[in-house]
Amino acid sequence: MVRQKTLIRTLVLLSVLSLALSMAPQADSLPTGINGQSEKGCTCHGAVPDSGVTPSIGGLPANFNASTTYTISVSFSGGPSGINAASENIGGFNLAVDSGTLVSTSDDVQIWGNNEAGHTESGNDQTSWTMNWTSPASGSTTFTLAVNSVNGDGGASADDKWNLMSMTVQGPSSGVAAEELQSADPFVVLVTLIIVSAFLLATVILYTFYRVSPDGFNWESFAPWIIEWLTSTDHKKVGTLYFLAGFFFLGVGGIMALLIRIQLAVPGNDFLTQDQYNAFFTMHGTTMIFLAAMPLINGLANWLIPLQIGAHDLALPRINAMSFWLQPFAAILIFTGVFSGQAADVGWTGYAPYIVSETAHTGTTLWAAGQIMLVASSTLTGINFLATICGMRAPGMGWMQMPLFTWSIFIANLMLFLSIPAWGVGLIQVYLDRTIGTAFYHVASGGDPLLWSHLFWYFGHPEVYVVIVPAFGVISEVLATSARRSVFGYRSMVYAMAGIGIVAFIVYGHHMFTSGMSPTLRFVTMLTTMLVAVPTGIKIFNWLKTMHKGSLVYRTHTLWALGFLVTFTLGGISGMFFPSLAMDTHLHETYFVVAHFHYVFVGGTVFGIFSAVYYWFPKMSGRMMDEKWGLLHFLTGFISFNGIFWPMHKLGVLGMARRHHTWFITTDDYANIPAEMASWNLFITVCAFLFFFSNFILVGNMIKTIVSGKKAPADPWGGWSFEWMCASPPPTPSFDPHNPPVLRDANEHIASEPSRLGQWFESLMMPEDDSEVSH
Amino acid sequence: MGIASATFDSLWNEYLVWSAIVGSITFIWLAHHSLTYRSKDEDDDWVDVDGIELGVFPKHNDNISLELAWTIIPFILIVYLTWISWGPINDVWADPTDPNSQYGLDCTDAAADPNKCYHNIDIGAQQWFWSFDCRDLGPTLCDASQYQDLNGTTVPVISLKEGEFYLANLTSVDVTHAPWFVAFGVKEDSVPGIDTQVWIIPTCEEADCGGEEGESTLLLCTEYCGDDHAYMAAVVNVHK
Repeated sequence: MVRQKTLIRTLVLLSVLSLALSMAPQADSLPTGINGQSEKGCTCHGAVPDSGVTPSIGGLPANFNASTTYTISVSFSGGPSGINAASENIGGFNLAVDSGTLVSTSDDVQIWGNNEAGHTESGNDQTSWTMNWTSPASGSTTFTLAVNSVNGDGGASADDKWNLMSMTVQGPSSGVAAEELQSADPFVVLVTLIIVSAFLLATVILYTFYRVSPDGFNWESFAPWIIEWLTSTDHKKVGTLYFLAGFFFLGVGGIMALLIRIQLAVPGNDFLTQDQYNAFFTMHGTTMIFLAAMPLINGLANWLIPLQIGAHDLALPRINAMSFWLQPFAAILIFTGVFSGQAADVGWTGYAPYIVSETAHTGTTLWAAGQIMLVASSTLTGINFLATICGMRAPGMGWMQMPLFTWSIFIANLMLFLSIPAWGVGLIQVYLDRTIGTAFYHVASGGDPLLWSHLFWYFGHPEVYVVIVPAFGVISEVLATSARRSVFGYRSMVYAMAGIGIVAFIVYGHHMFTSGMSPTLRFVTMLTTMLVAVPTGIKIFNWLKTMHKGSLVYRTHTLWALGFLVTFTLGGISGMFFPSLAMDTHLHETYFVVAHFHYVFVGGTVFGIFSAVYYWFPKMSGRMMDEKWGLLHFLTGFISFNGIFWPMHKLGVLGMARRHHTWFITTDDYANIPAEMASWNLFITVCAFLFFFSNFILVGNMIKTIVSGKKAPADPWGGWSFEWMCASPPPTPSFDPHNPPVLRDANEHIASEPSRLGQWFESLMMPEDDSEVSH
Repeated sequence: MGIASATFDSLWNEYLVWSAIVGSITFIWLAHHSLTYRSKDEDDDWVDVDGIELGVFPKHNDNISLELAWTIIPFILIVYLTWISWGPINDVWADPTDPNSQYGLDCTDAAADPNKCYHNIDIGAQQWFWSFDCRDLGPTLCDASQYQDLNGTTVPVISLKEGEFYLANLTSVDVTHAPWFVAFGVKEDSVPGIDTQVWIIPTCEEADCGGEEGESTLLLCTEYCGDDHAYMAAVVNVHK
């Protein structure tokens, strides 16, 4: 039976193959004429066309009328047919048209389909042929003619020649057929991609809803479900919303990065206009920092801070929800310019006086308005986390028993809370300058452009640490747990983070080394900036020492944490070049800077966030992520990331300026980027695409985990902090407010004895004898 | 083309050496620990030295000597790097009125030493082109009368003499710009309403600027200034 089936299958297969072979276009010409030659010509008469043979098509008008029949003639001259006296087997042709209908009018011409003509056997004895062509109703028609000039011996010979020609005749234009295709406006591409991304996001939300309850997939169930999400003040739900927004804008910012990289792949590219390019790098920076990195960190903080300190929620849950909901509306304002083609083009730094000049895009006004809303959001977030961490820690958790991630969020929010108002003031000034004609930054009216730089960088530099310090917290947690050790130097870790938090406020002048600011201030900030390396170095060495004599369990979050150590160290080292003032005058505003801050922002913050996602996703979703997918994500992401940003160091030093629509390659007239370095830009662009798409592995992994992941235990990695005491996913409220968990301390002997400084501080705060208090 | 500034080169090379040393220590340490202390399997002979327990703040794992070591040693390195970065600041910020500075006084000043003096030139910035004014300097010292095509954009050419000192006085009539002399490794912002200056010491590689045409490199705008920012450039020619 099996043999019979195999026999039948073999016969059917052979029949199909025979049929296919018999129907396949022939490659050789024949005296009888052959179709299928229009693309490649008559190669049986020579490998390549010969310019000694001149084909021509006669009888065609300059512009044809609709549905009209024309008598056309095809002919050729030259080649061996004119040399041999014989009048047989001297030529052949094949004519193909892409519209209209060909009709034979003699025995010398045959037609295949309606659109291809060739000579018959009798037509093989001549060098010109006629036929009718009926034109289409509109559009244009292309005629492709192949002719053979043969020597009359009746077969293919080495001295036979052939040639090919093509001509297009225009007809009456109507409809879209006659219109030339225009390249798409990149803004349209971006908006389309944003809409597609939003659609995909909505699909994922709907699918998640369906998975939660397949039987309840109807509006009656969906309405309360979605309303609960839109109005919830639960820290976990708000945290998830932050994650959704953060990942969505990470994708949007990534799309803009790809458009930028396409533009820069080769010198002198015109994929984006200068106008568009300027808007794209502005929106890329703004999106990535304020709409992707910050929300992702807030997502982590929302989820984890109450869980880590044993609180049932944040101190101010409604304020927390408000902080989040300000963000989507701020994003709409920031992006409004994109939809009108006038997106802000001022860079994420928005330097004055350009930001208030008439040459800046109109979208800048609403960009500033959106940023003001983000300032409000961040301020509210800051006060909320500070209040929560100060006042809602579980019994037994003193300051020096807080998990390091909680410490990192505390320090980050303290920095944010103290710095962002300065930028808020600057933004309001810019907004007023642009709308009601105030003159804070109009130089002609006495405005001071450096004031903006001070206000911006007073916020901007701490902001850099606001997004990196939480990653420090993540790496401390992940490495210690993965190495199954207590983090090395807990106290010095806290002091290092606090040190970074303090120094952050007095280093910002290094962004203004070429600004014309007072040399004294520039020199002082050179010294302070150098100092940042010390606490950062302490942290890196402490992380390394944490692994010592540990038992490192390799999971995806471990890999991202180790990857972070590599990339953040490289970013930290390249950062040391900038405070050296005489060197910075060359490196400032070059691709060396772009390489450095991406090593810190992506190799630091984003890798930290990836590590956190893999580490805490089982806690959040109640399901274990796929480790194989995670490994694939790490390998592709880590390699392609370095492929993007490592070559940028060299390009920057050689002369590639940041925020430039193009770059210049060395020519005979001037020297700039050496020709041998040029291909690195193309390499970077290819790596950028790989990195972008590698992150879909994470998105896929998250969806797969939610749908079919293995159930996660409460403490899958062996962590010690409170979040691992909750079920996965945690209940609501996360802890019973009337019965909070109590933290024990393995260092009881130390914890119970306050230090001398602590004793002195407490003596100031608490009267020793109650009787001294007057009533 | 290399960066011909001796100031930049000396700092760059020294920083590269220390970067390589610090990077090597870190990465060798990282590679060693992440391979040596990897868990063999879940039931290996690993000893829970810190007694990690859920709900219990872990035992301190610290060593004050080590922690002090990697606070103090990097600090010493930082002090050294600051020290070597300190001196070259004079190259960037020499006082034009100080006769003892390495650039001396303005060559037109009667008190100036002809063997050690500088020339004033003016660089004006406007969206989106540069204008150079050589003041009274002859064409050998400074020539700004030529223009050249740069990928379809006509840009000015400034021709300077190797080995001379120039003090460029920067002004802008609209927004902030910044001329970056790519080959000399210097830049400074041209800020409207503020007078800024930058020292230029034209240098070029012998093989390139020995000929009649000299060596040409680019001056790019490096403070974002709007639409044509990327094409706001000039050609800088250095000749013997």
